[in-house]
Amino acid sequence: MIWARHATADLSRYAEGTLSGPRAGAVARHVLACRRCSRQLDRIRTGVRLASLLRPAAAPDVSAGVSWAEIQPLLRTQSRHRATTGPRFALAAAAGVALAAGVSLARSPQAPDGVVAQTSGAPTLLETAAVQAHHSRTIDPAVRLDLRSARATAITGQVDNEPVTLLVAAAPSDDRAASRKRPSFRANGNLKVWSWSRAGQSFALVSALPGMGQAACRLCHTSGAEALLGRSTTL
Amino acid sequence: MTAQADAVEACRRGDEAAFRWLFEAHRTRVYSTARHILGQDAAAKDVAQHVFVTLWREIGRIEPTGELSTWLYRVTVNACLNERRRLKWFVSAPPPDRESGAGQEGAVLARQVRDALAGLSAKLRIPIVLRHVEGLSYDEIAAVLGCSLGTVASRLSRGHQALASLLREIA
Repeated sequence: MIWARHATADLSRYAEGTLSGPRAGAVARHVLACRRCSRQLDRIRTGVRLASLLRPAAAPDVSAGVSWAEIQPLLRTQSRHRATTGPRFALAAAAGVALAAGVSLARSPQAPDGVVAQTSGAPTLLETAAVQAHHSRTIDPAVRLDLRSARATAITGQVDNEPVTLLVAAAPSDDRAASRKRPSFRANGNLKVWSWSRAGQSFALVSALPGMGQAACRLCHTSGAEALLGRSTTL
Repeated sequence: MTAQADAVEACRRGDEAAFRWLFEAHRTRVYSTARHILGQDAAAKDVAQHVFVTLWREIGRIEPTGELSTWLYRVTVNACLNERRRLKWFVSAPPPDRESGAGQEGAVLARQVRDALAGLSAKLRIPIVLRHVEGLSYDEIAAVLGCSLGTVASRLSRGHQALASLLREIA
């Protein structure tokens, strides 16, 4: 035995020919003497050959990769964040609170300005389209699948002079999320999905806050998600 | 100064045209890495978007003469790991099958390898993507992942063996 220990860690580099000098010679001698490392080297060579079939995924156009048209509006928002992070977030938070208040007020016949639409029942194409209208890309099929069988309330309004759509969906009890105990959050570009379960029923909250990134999540968390939830369950 | 260093310097002054140049230079690489790690087009787009928005936000902290590609790979890998954690909560839509019907043997084989890659843990998969898709050296992978050369070599050895085992019948 050349080494007291096996040469596993060096075998890939040896198989790829990137191990040079005396170390390569030592590995070669070890492999000749060690049946285990010899077998591993054979498998690694096979793995290297297979892995070499992988190649960069093409992203030639908008449909197969992120485009400049999608990035550019976000940059401008980010720039504004950098310049006036404090006041803007305070404004957004205040608007979020106002939005939450608007949701609870919307139970009365006189819906306040800012809550311009509210629908109930199973989410329809119109409602997903309302979310999509504020999002530059199509909604992930997995998300759409999640919403299709759910009861939901769509609320649109304005936050910081930007259109906002919140879609609160109460998912059926046999939904996968029902078995989860902790709330989860899924980012899909600007479209945010937040799901959780309570009292045996699972819920998902979808929000589209253009260009606000993580601030959208914070808004969802701090602007009375439970109030929104309460509203959706009364429908 | 290289063209890239000039572009980074211009971006630090808020030059969007310079940032577009950087975006076009790196977007395929970022998307491709995310696509192979996540195995999903939509999720890879999300990650790529996140990476470039982060780059724009953090450009002031990046040295113009520094290794931008290493920074991009690191942010991409971390974003992919976060995205994978979130994706666990949702049912994945099957990826579009672009090649299996085309009768191209090589393409079908490549697809099988990609599928097998998806079966590996992130710890083994990411070094393989960086090595074989992006062509990074072992040292570069260590810099991206923030670990030692020995750790990278060990993970690649285990990853290659796992890939060979998963594809035993076609290897």
